Amino acid sequence: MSQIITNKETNLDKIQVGPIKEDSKPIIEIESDVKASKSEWTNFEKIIFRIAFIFFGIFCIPWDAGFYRFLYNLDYAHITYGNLTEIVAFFNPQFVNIFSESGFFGWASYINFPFVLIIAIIGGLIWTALDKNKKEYNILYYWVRVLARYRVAYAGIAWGYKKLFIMQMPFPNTGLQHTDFIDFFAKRLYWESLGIAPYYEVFLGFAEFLAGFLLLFRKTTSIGAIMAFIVFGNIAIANHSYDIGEQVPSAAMAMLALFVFWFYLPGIYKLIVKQENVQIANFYPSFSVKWQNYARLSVKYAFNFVFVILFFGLEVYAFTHNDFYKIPNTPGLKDSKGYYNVTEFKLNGKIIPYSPNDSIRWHDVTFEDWSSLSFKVVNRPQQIQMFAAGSYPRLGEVYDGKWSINWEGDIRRFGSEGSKKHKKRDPAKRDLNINWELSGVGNERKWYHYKADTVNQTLYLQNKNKVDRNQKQVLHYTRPSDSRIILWGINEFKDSIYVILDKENSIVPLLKDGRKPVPEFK
Amino acid sequence: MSKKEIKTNNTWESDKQKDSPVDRFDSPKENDEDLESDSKIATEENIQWTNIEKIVFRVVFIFFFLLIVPLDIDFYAKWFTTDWSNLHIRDLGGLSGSSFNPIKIVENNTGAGDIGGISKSNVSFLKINAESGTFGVASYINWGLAFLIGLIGAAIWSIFDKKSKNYRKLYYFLTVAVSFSMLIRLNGLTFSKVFPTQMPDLALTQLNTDFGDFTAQKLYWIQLSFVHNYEIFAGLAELLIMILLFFRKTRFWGAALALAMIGNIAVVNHAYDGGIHLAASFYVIAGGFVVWRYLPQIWNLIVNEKNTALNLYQFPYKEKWQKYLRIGLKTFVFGFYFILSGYLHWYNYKYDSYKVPSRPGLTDARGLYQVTEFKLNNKPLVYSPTDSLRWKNVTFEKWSTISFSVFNTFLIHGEAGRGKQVKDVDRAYESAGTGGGRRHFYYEADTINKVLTLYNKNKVYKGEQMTLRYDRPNKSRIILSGINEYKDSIYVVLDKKDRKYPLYEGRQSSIKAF
Repeated sequence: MSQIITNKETNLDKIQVGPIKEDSKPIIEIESDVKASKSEWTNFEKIIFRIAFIFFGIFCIPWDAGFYRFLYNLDYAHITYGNLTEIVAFFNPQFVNIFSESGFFGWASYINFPFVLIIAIIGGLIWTALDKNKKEYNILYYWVRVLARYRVAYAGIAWGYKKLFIMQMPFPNTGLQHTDFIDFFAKRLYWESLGIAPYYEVFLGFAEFLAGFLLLFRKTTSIGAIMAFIVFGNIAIANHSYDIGEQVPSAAMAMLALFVFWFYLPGIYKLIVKQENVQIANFYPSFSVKWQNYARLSVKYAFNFVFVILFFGLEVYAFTHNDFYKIPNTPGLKDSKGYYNVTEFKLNGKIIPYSPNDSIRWHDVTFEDWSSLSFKVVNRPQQIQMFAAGSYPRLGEVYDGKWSINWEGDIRRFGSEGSKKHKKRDPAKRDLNINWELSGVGNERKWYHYKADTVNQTLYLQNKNKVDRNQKQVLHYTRPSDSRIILWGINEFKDSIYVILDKENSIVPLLKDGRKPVPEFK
Repeated sequence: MSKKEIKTNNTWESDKQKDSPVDRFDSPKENDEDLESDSKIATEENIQWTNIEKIVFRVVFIFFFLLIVPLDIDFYAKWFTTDWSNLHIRDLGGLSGSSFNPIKIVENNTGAGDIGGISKSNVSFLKINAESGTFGVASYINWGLAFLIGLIGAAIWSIFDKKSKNYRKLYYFLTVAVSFSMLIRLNGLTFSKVFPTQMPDLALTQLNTDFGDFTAQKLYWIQLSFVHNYEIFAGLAELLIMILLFFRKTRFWGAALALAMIGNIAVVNHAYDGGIHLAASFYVIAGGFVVWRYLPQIWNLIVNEKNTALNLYQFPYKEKWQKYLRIGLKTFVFGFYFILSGYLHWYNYKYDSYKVPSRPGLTDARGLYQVTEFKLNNKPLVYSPTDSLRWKNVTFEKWSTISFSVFNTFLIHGEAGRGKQVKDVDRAYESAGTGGGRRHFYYEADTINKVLTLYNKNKVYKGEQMTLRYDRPNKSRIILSGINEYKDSIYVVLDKKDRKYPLYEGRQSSIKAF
């Protein structure tokens, strides 16, 4: 049978495994395969471990100085689920920034991986020189796996919540339903194709959440790790196919998940493929001094509380209070939601007939549940609003393909531009600042946010496009019937317009099977 | 500095063999030579399954037998009647199996109850009409029937077979059969993604359709149409599943991956009413069945962190004829469903992508056209977005389809463009699943007399036809005149419109529209 010999000097257990059954070969391989149970690692293993420890350690801990500045500037009194998402779901070491097409969507976006690897190799070699006598690193291996586990867990839970609460992919609004398929960027279509199936979005969110959640517990870590690897790996690949630009955080999470799962891989391989007798032995440090144990538990519980439970509570609050970060929540004109044809359009008193090539006369108008109005004109280009992390060139940014190393880290998110974004936001401007309605869509539809003065029956409209914010209109309205709205006033070019809108009640095939934005839970 | 204690979680259970239920299923040895020597070790004859285990197995065996073994003569006849010298991918579908569906559900929409290309058996006992029969629970009724037959059959079996101690051999072969059934049925769906024909490039008419005019089902299908490398990636993942299922040692991984990936597709189908949920759900139960055997041990290994061994029974294939039969069958399966299928799908992708019409359209006519002038019975109609007769814009494709848009909401033919249609007029990927005001017509061009004969592709409006004379005064103008689908005379002047497509502009990869 097996024997356990304790070496009194080092206090380490040496396990000698004997035969389990009388007539089978003695199974000695277990000792050599299960690294954690070995009392001595080979030199090769030690060097690889030192490099791996530094490499994966860097990926688990935030290094961007800009990130800490962001943490410092957070409005802790009014913390939102958006803040928590941004803390866990995005950062990755971003010492090197490259502003080029490949740097956003292609191979060059991964530049930080080899950069960190070089740092890890150098660090590993220095460590080897300094630490010649160490026999094994079982404890450190345990701790770096803990770091990786929690890093991936919180990211998975954060991304999971976004979908579980149907925040990341909202249902396509009326304006989008009347936009030609070809006017969508591939990226935007990816979002919309999930948006039209809220139940599936919840399912995916649950899968991401579950992967992260299982990683929080020792016993289910391996299952969570393989789930996380598959989920995040798939997202990274989809990012490349659809040119979304968020492949690096997902790929980093997939890599960390694989690192966590790596520990179990030899055991599983032996069990299933080679069909041998096997056990995976784990080493857990036990804390002999009480305060160490209390410290560990309180850190663990604090982090779990903030990033799982508090986060959940904030999401529920937002869900029930109509605070979806991609959708404005000021209600629009009562019962005005729909698609309207422009029956009559007068410019400075003169009627303009319909023409499909007109860039002034509105082609159609949509109203939403919230206070946005959109109208379609052609041949009037506008800047396309993009979305999905900070991975695309913004107005005024360099785009020269050169490497730039910046102490702030991800300068688009945490640099001076980003820190402006993180200043306390004016809640009155919330709806105006949300430009999800037009993000990633071509240029035919113009979106305006309006403030309705229902006493004087006036709408104060402002263009939501960040470049065209100076375009404002002041229009009076009357509603002679349920399906007609008449607008007149000054448009964005200081001309006077008079518009008669008639609601079109045709069936929208997409909604034909009763599709709704949010599954009804009541 | 205090020394940290190191605790290990090793627990050696040397008596494990006798207690664990696992071991009653299989022999603990891999070598047969040792079987006879030790009387303490359970041998094939000694291992005793409990009564419950035996009954459950009988039910499961019959259930899967019904689902995977083709029960109609037509399937077997196909092997003789197929034209082997002119093979086409459509033939492969029929040869990949036959579905078990004695209860036929009346199809409310064409394209529902899709089983992914394998033939539907014509044996029919019952026809039902169920509300949820197209996309919902009722479509699984034949599984329920198979289960019921399984229960009855198992009861009969139990009466007749009191002697068998275990069904290890049958269990093993059932696992093999289910695995092979999974991989064989997958071949069409796999290779038509690896060579992207399952979701082909979008037609111009689709690109110029409002987003809301697509049914969710259609959006489900076309969402891969404009990201071919993702489609190829999905196809390669399915190919990996096929390969993993093929080999004994990796069967578990294949089944687990199938369960995860194709199970996900089953969920998606239910969310979007995609229509192919029956085929996808099969992989959930089949993959689950194959994986089931390994689950207790894996759980033991990675969650409980105990010592574990699989102790799987594998049929020894001792006799020479057994070995040859096995190798022969595997070679056939590999050659037919991997190599031949792959080749045929590649050929189809290169020369006649099966969802895309093949007949070429008018030379260099492809594009989007605005309707500059429109006369109905000699009366000119002004452009209006609310006119249901005056055409708004027109697209010509690379192939012989013309589409135009009016103000209307036409009935949708919800085929989702699936199936292996031969004739161009039936290849409806470009038009199925779209409502709104676009109409699609297949045309045949008489280039000598300059006449186009148009046939409506929408199955709901099948009879509609047009005969139009065409004139092309210059590269960007086409003039059509003739009789439209309502037997009125029309005169249409079309001018090509240059349009930038955000979907394709500025993409990193060089993707182009068809």
